[in-house]
Order: sequence, then structure tokens, then C-alpha cells
Amino acid sequence: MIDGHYLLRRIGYSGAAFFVCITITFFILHLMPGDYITNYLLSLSHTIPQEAVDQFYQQYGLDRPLGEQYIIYICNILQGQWGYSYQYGLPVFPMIMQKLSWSLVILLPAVLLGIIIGIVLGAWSGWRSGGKKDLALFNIMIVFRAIPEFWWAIMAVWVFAFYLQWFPLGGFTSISVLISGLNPWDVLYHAILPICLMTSFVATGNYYMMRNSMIAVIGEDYITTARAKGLDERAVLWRHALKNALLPMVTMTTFQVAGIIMGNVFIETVFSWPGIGLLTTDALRMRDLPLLEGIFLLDALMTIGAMLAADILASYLDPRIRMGDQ
Amino acid sequence: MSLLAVSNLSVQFEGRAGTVPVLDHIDLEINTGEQVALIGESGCGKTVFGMSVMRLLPSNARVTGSARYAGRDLILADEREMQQVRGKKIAMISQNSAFALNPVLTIGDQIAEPLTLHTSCRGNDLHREVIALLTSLGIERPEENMQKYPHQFSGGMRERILIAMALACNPDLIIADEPTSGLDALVKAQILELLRTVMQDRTLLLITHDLGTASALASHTAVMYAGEIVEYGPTQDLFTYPLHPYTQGLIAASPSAGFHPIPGVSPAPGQVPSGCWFCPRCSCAMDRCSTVHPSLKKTGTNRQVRCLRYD
Repeated sequence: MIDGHYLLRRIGYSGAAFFVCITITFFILHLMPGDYITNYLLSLSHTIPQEAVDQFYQQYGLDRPLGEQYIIYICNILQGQWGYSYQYGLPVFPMIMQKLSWSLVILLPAVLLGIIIGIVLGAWSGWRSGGKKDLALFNIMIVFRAIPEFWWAIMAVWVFAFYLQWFPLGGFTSISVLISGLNPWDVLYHAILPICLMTSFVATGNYYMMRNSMIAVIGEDYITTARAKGLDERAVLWRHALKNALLPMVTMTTFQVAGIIMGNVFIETVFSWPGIGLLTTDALRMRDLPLLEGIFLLDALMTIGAMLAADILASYLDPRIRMGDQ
Repeated sequence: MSLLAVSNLSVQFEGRAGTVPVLDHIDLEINTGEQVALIGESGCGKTVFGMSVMRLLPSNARVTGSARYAGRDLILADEREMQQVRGKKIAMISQNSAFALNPVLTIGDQIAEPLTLHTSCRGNDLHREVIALLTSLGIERPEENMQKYPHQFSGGMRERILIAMALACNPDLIIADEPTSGLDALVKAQILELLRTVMQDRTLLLITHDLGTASALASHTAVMYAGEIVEYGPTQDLFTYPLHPYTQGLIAASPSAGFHPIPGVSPAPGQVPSGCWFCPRCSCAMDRCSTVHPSLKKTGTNRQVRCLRYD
């Protein structure tokens, strides 16, 4: 399992990685050509008074040298100050949290379900690899995966929402929300189609990995040993193959869960879902730097946290990994 | 009395490139209390023979012939019947101890597995049984060691664990596939000594390419070449007076005899020459040898040889 000193050191490294991440993010974002004024405001109106432009730069500290801006940024971050959005003039953190919670409505159930379905189907398919059922499922998955997500999303809207009218065309709630307030059932009704689609995408990815992992495990000598003991196929699968095949999945699935934080641009665009994916593309187009920095900071935090969690989890599942053993 | 009587056993593998014969009409009898070694070079089909008796070959293998054990033919037995034979009646010590144990289960669990499967031994009895097995195979501090995982043991220890697993249900026949592969000389000598003690009054089919292992453990030896048996006899006789030129070549190639290699390489499966399969490499081949395929013939009281010179 885990040696305490090692864990502390690991957390220290994670902190260092986090700082490297936000430093690179900060400089790349600030080195992007164009800014909020030139990219966005000028496209709306050609006559912005020079005083207003100067005031904007001064207000957000953009007139200072980049190094100084960076130091101010780091100091603010350490104090929990994530800054204000250029576009909305609102604090960044609550904005991100609000959009994120909408993204999670779709992504959390979709990723969890997708991982489970992918692993179960992949294990089944890998265990019967080469058989007719396995090949059928494998080819279905290839076709599904080969066509981009947004095409499936558009088709789903077209068939299930437009033609069959089982689901709404988009959005996260009905117009009745203005009278009766937000209704969880109404939101769920709007979320079902995007959840189903997202679940299928996540499931296909995990299906491939689990299938390959299972095929590799089946060829191992200890599976033959297990059969030679007289175990039936079910026991060989459950007791000997499954846990070994799951080991490589731990890292990948942990990252997928962490990746929820970035939302899904395609799904959110097609379904007009007010999630963090849309917020990100929007902020990028507007050069809304504080908002982008906030989103990427959260992403860095989650990814680094996921790496740590994956290592700890793996060390509990795999006795050969003893974190801290030299 | 014969415990396992294999007759006319042939194995072919079906692949994309067609059918590849691996074993050709093998006849081999193993009597209760005998230790029979099957020797030959890599790729001659030794392991496939053991696996076909256990019915553990992959699904693309076509097995014909018979392997009679306790009144039934294992080749025709269905999967459920075989599950009652494997581990309980016929146990296997797999090749390569580094990979033959499941890395995520403790060795105690893995040794207990055949016992829970085939006996009514549970709970404390099971625990005691596992400890007794470990102790009898020279594993110290069994209480502590049964909680450990395979990677925490050395190669020699893992081999002992594999032997313990095979002996757990006190099977009628043990098939040991290269039980000393990958061990250094000192550990190998210890394992051989241990195997000699535990196999003394058991029935063993030993599969090996190592002549030393065969002569240390086996009462009888069968020599395989390119998927068929070319010579069979009591181990001591066979090693002292080898009849078949291939056996003579094997013995001459061993370190103690001065490393004299047999010229050429053994034929790839399915590409055997007409006539005697060993003929192209044989130093005493006659004209007939390239056209007539010899059959396995009895010579003397208890020897068999597949060579035209003894016709």
C-alpha cells in the first residue's frame, strides 16, 4: 500500500506540476494575438473612445509588464481570487461553478454509466474474442466510433426530437419555467437524449480498452493454471481474469472522470445546453482571459488530482504496486 | 496397471494458412507409480501432448485418438467431466513459475482453490491443509507466507508453490511441464531433490528438454522428435544404450558428453521429409531411410525404437 512519506512527496510533486501548468497556461493565453478590445469590442463598433480603452487596460492591469501581471495573478490565486470576467464583469469562480453544474447534469451520469457499460461489454467481448457475437459487437462499435459525435447528435435530434417528438429539440428546460419555476423532471426530460448519446461515446472508448485488456489477460499462463485446477469458465473469468484485466482501466477511467470538468463542446452546442464547454469556446472567442484562466486552472487541479487518485487506487488493486517501495 | 493409456493421439492446429500437424499418432502408456519423462527439443510437441491430455488446448486444435483414464476416454469427455478430472485426478505443474501464478491473489488463496473446488474441506481445516502443504514443500513460516503475493517470492519458492497447488487434492497423475525452467543451478538441484521425494510413489508425466531432469526423476523416458515418439524405454537403459540416432545425438550434445551438436535443424511442423523424419540429420542414414517411414517397434524386452536399422 502507501508509505506516508512517499505520499507527502507525491503531493509535493503534484503541487509543483500544478504551478507549472498554470504558469504555462497564463503565458500562452496572454501571448495569444488580439485581446478583448481588438477582437470583440472593435467588431461591434469602430468608434470606441480612447479613454474607455485606456481605462479597460488599466482596470484589469493589462498596461503593466507581463511579468508583473503574472506575479499579481499568482498572488491572487493563492488568496483564492480568481478574477473578474471581461465580458460579464462578474467573479469567475461562481460563473464557472454555475455552468459546470449544468454540464455535470449530463456528464456525470453519462461518464459513470459509460464506463460501467464499456467495461462490462468489453470484458464480455474480450472473453469471447474471435467468436461471432464478439465480432458483431466489435464492428458495431467501430462504425459508431468512426462517425463523429456531432453527426450522431444531429441525427439523434432529427430522429428522436424532430420526427418522433419523444424529446425536446434542445435547451435545458421548457418555456414554462418562467411561470412554474425550475422543475427537475423537466430538466431530466431535456437531458435524456444528450445523456444517452454521451454514454454511448464514453462506452465505446472503454469497450475497446477493456476488450484488449481482457484478450491480453486470457493469453496469460495463470489463466491456464486456473483451468488446470478444474475451475469452470465462469470462475476463471470472475476470479482470475477480471481483476487483472481491470488494472489498466483504473488510470484511464480516473482521467475520464476528471475530464468531465471541461464539458463536451459538441453535445452542448448541438443541444444548446448551457454547460462549461460552451462557456469555454465563448470565452476563447472573446479573449476573456480571466475566465479562461479559471477554467484551465480547474482542469489542471482535477487532472493532477486524478493522477494522484489513480496511483493510490492502483496500489490498492495491484499488490505488485507498493507506492514508496524502493 | 496402466493409469493413462494414450493411443493414436494426433493433434493439428487449424490456422489461416491451413492445418498444421503438431503431434502424430502418439502411443504412450503410463502405469501407476511410474514416472515417465517426455523429452525432446523445443517445438517438438511435448507441451501440446500434456495439454491435450488435460484438454486445455485452444479451440483451433483438432485432437484425434484416445487417452484412456479410469475407464473413460478423456479426448471424448465433455467439459464438465474434464473439470472433475483437472486438479482432482490429473494435476498440472505449469511451465514458467513467473507467469503461472495469478499476480493479484495471495498464494494461500491460490493453493486453497483446488481444495475448495474438489473437496469438502472448509474454514479452519482448509487453512490447516494449506499450511501442511506449504510445510511439506519446505516453505518456511507458512502462516505468514500464505498471505503474500507471487511477486514476493523467488523463482524457486514459486516453483514449490506450484507443486503444492498440484499436490493439493492428491491427484492420481501429475503432469509437470519443465518444472525447473528458469532456475539457477543450485535452486534447480533443490527443486529436483524435492520433486524426487514427493514424486517417489506418485505417477508423474514429466515434460522436459533437460536430460538431467529426466534422468533424475523418471523411471521411463520417451524421446520425441518432430511430433512423434522415436524411442521409449526405462530411463537408465535408454541413457546408457541409446538406440535411436536422435537419442544418441541428444546425449552427445549434453555438456557432460562434450557439446557435440546434431547437424541441421528439426523440421517445421507440417514440413517433415518423406521417409524417416530424422533422416536428413542422421549420420548413419541408409538409402531406404529417405523413402520408408519407420514405425515404432519393440526391441528387446522393454524398449521401443522408430528406426529402420532395428527392423
